[in-house]
Amino acid sequence: MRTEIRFAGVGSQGMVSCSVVLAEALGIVKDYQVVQTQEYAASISGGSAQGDVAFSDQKVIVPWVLHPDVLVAMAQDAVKQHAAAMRPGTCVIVDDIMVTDVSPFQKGVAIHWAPMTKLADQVGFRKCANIVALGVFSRLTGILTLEEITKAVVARAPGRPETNLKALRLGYEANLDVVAA
Amino acid sequence: MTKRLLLGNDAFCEGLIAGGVRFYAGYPITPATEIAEAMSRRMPQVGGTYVQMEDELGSMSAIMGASATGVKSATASAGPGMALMQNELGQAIVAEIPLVVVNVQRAGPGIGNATRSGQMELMQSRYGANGEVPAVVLAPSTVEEAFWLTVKAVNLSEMLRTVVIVLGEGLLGLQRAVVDLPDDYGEIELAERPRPTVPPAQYLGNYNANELSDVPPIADFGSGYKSILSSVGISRRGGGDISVLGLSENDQDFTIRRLHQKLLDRKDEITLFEEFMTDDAEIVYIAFGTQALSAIGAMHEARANGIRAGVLRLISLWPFPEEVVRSCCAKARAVVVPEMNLGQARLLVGNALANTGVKIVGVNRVDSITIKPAQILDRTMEVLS
Repeated sequence: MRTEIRFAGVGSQGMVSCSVVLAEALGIVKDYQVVQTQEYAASISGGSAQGDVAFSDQKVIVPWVLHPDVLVAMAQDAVKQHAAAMRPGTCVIVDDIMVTDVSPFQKGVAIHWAPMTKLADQVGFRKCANIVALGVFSRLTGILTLEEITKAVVARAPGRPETNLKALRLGYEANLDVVAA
Repeated sequence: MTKRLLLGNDAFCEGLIAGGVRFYAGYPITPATEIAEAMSRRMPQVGGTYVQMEDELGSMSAIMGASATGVKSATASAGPGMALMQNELGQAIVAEIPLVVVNVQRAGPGIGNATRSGQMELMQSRYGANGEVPAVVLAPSTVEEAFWLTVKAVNLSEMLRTVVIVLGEGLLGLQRAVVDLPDDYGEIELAERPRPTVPPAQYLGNYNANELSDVPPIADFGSGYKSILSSVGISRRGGGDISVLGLSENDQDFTIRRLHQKLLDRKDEITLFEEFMTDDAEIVYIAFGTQALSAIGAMHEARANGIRAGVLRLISLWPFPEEVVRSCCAKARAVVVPEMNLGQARLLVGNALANTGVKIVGVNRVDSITIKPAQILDRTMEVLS
């Protein structure tokens, strides 16, 4: 079955990197067919940025994420931009500092508030909030174990290994506040 | 074969290497930058040479010179870089120097929209250079195909002594997919340009063509043969004196016609395409590059709605495969051409289907956002109603 994941935020939050690590985990650590795509504004940081992953146990023909099953939103602008694509029954993970208003989501979208930026600050490096997000995502969706996502982080985000692995674990073990839109 | 998550631009790079390219001169440009980056790492590893040039004009000139010495050579660019390259592109085609140029298309005119994608350079690929030169243009749809088609591009450039353009897109160059590629590129079959088979004293030059379909031999610079390359068009029956700059009417006519005919006579070897469910199709989607994948998605949705849809995915765009278009649409009532421009492929499809009575419409986007299968389906409903 085809599943679509979107990581959205602003440039420099590492959303594209997130999607690359996830694609590695799903396609190489696990055995799914995977296509990862990305879109970002020309500005180096601060513009909108998204990383998308479509995966399936069969061939992924249409590479584009059309209707995400899971959206990880790391910025309020990302909510504004992508809320309309989320259908009832889908899942959203929002950063509990960077996002304040989830009213744009339709009814029936499950919204999970996660302290991704806060946990990254706790690790001492705010830029690893995207790695925290991968931990949160893996645990919440049950798609990947901590061990599986760890292998992909090591392969695709080799810098600052101690920081990253600590961030990943904190994300994986985080308690989330859940609300339904 | 090892499974790996590969970036589209890295697939172009690996395809060039697997095809035997050992000289790359380039100027990085979004969304093709990763090709230059990867080549700067990979060329020294495979015994090749990477040169960071000052601009795209220099890149093209450098690879022309390198290829003239017998080394398979390539570059890559996008939008404004491709515009700058047109002069040397035309020169290389008429001088019959084998080269591969990868264009990872960005969106929009002028400087364009660097991080965005489009399909706006289909016509430029064919008609961008001055003086009625032909072009061979191949357009991959997936990361895996980006690799294999780039290998094919190198082979065709050698076999045909011409420039082959691999028409990529930002949406493909900056996409990653899990692919299975050979571990040992040595197993891949490669083509070599025709080289002299007579001793140097008997060599009649690099343009010794007798028939319009001829691809004459070319001698490597430094190989002991008198090897002169001309960018004015000098091919003539029996080779002969090539010191003249002004061509006779006959020589010019022969040169230009031969540049085209040598491709047309080998069209079967150049033409690649893929058909899906066209046998009984009342509506055929004709598309190339990444947008062909949206067309396949739309076809499955249409079939689920009881509409007999099919897809013709064009892989070789020039020479344009008119006869393939005609045979695929033999039973069609209508053709939909989705593309990220305002109808460049639709124009060619229209020519191919002239006087057949088949209705031809487009789905066109120039906002750099990919065409969704649902959009193609909506157009289908309009056309069939």
